[in-house]
This record gives sequence, C-alpha cells and structure tokens, in this order.
Amino acid sequence: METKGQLSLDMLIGLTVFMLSFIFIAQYIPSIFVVERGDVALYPLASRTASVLAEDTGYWTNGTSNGTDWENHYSENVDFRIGLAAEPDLLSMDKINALQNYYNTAGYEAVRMALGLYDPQGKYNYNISLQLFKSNSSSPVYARNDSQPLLLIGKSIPNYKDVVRYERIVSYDNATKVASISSKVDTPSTRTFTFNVVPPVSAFIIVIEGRNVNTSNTTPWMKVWLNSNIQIIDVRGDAETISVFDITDNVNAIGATRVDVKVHNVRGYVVMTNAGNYIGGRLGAKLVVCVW
Amino acid sequence: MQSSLSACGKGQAFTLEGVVAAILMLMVAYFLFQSTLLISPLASESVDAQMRQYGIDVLNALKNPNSPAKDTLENALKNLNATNQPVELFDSIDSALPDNIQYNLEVWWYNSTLKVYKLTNRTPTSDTVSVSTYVLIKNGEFVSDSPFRINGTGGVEGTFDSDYPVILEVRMILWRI
Repeated sequence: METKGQLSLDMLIGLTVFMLSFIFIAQYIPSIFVVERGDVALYPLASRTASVLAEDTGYWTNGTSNGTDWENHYSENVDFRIGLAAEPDLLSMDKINALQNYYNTAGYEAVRMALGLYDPQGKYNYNISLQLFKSNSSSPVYARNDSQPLLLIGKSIPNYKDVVRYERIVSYDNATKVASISSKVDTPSTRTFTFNVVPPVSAFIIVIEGRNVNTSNTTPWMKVWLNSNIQIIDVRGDAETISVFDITDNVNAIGATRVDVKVHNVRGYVVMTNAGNYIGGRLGAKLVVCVW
Repeated sequence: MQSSLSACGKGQAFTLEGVVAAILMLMVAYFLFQSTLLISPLASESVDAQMRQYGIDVLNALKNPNSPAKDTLENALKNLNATNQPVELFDSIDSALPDNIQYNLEVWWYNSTLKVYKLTNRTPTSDTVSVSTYVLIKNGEFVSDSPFRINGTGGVEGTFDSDYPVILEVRMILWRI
C-alpha cells in the first residue's frame, strides 16, 4: 500500500513539471514564428507595390487598342494596370493626379483590385502617399498641391497591429504643374522680379539656364533679397550665375514672405512648391506604401 | 508517509524522468533561440532591402546630366578637386536619406590600374549594403586638377583628348546607425 501511494505522488510531481514546461514551450515558440511569418509575407507585397508604382508606366487595353497612358482612359470601360512612372523613379504628375482621382471616384476597393493587393487567403489593406524627405511614420509630412495632399489614398494606418512600410525616393517629371509659383526670370536687360511667399515651403528654386536669347554682350548677374532687405545671393559672370539656386532653407529659416530677384541678361525660371524637395536638379519626394 | 525521494526507488525514478524531460525541453528551446534557424535574419534582410533601395533611388535621383544643378553626380564629379568638395551633393544625400542611415561614397575608375577616390571615409558597422551607378563624363569636362582627368598619351587612339570618355563607378555603402 505504501509503495503504491508514493508512486502516485511522485508521478504527479513529475507529470506536473513536465506539463508546465511543455505548455510554456508550446505557447512561446509558435508565437515567435507567427510574428515573423507575417512580416515575411508583407514585405515583398509592399516592395512589389512600391516598385510597380515607381517604375511601371501602367497599361490599358479595351481589346482593340492599348497603350501606357492609362491616365487618359481609366474612366472608360477598359482594363488597366496602375503605374506612376514616366521613366523608372521619375513619376508623371498626370499619372499621380489620375490615381488620386480614380481613388476619389471609384473607391478603396477598386484601387485595391487594380494594385493586386489580395490573394486566395484574403485581402490586404493599404495606405499610399507622397511625403517630403523629412517625413517619418510618427510625424508624416505630405507633399501638397495647394492645401491638399498630392497623393494620399487608402485607410488610416492602424497602430494596433503589424504594418509594413516601404519607401521609394522618386522625382517628378514636371513639378511646375503643382507649383505655387512657376515664373520665368527672363530679360536681356536689368529687371527685378518679386514673389510673395507663405512659409514654410518645401522648395524655392531659382534656375538660371543661360544668357538671354536676345542677348547683349554684357555679363549676366543676379542678386536676391529676402523681405526686401536681407541679401542672400550676389553672383556675377557666366560661371557663377548660370546655375541652380536652392534658397529653401534661407526662406524657411527667417520665415520670409517676400523674395526679390534682380537679374541682368539671363534666361531662367523660379519654382516654389510644397509638392516636394529639391534633389539632383529636380523636385522629388518619398513614395510611401504601407500594407497590413 | 515516508519521503518518496529517499525511501522509494520507483518514486525517484518517475520524478527524475519528469525533471529530465523538462530540462531537455528547456535546453532545446534555449539552443533554438541561439541558433540561426530562427527567422529573425529574414527580418534583417527586409530592412537591408529597404536600405539598398534607398541607395539605388538616391543615386538615380542625383544622376541628371542635363541639369546645371551643382548637386548632380555629373556636376559634382566634374568640379571635384582637392579643395572643392561636393558639399551640395552631400547636402542632397543627407536630406533624402532617413536620419538613421549613414553612408560612404566612393568613385572607382580605370586609368592604367583600377583606382578609387573616397569622397567620405566614415567607419561603417559590420552590416552594410553597397549599391553603385555609372557616370560617363568627357575628359575635358573635368577641372584641370581633377583626380579623374586622364592626361598624357595612350589609349586606342593614341591621345586622351577632351572628348575621351571617362567612366566612373559611383559606389555608395550604407548602414544603419
């Protein structure tokens, strides 16, 4: 009798230790793999979507005709694939506007189908936008056309579950279409151009392409003032004057509301916008794709 | 009741088996965490893929041969010499890349031997990614004391004139900080 009693107690202790350890491990290990599997599945999806948008021109067909200018045909009864590129990494402003308009008219589900954000296991939520370089997930700063985001489609990004974010750095093919100021600075003589500014701006660029076509043989020069009295540029001669001047930081640093550009014998233009930042002689932004 | 651990061999055996089984499972779990079989490296690869994409995109954005802007790769390299560093190029790269990514920029080219000019020389971490792009600049477009300018005679046509094309590989090494 004593032997059987001892046997049951010891076995109970052993079984308890075993079961506690087994339950702990059985619960803990799969939870690690589940989290990693979710990320592994979503990263390629976000990367692929960003690549299609940034590098593909898109395509449309109605069975008899086709082309890459889907932005001119998306409202018709055609099959089309969405892409924003005029060239890889160089986004077409017309295609960006078309995607925003298509989302506004056709809705969330139609864009999800067009982007292929679904599979037999289910559908994926998305948020796609163009943001300035300094933007990040905690404080997004959207590229803007007037007061509206240039591109912002999809649901609000939740903070209670895993969201995969993939970014592409892109340029615009023709940023003057969404510029607050797009003005020629073009004169064979001496002239002052005045621009009113509402700071902060994401880009204020003065581009001097060369001497004026109706040129006299006098040396080109340029002087720039902020708020009428703070001179920030004083250049003379072809080598110094024919260039691109990014005065964005100067304008934002003092909150300038007025920019005076006095030039002599030049051919160029001024662009001010909140649609992107200046990089490599063009305006650009971050294409941000979030998937969950 | 007598103490099972001291008085009964059967009792000790069953308790011992339970403890040993638990230790075995914990050891398996421990070594599994320590091993490379875990999927965590894949998460790291995803981050590396994003970092690599940043590098490719930034180099693409800065490659714009038709622009007079000083921050393009072409204009920065044309005007580079020992005293004139490409400040505008660095500013544009710094503004485009996220704050938690650092980089080195190198230019590789061939002039009798393979040569390298390091535009930056920061110390990277052990986990880096490298991307590159090619820039073609005519020999005569470099400033006279450019490190990339090829002087003297040689080549297929005998001389390195101002139209001689020089191909530069701009290499960017990125890492997280």
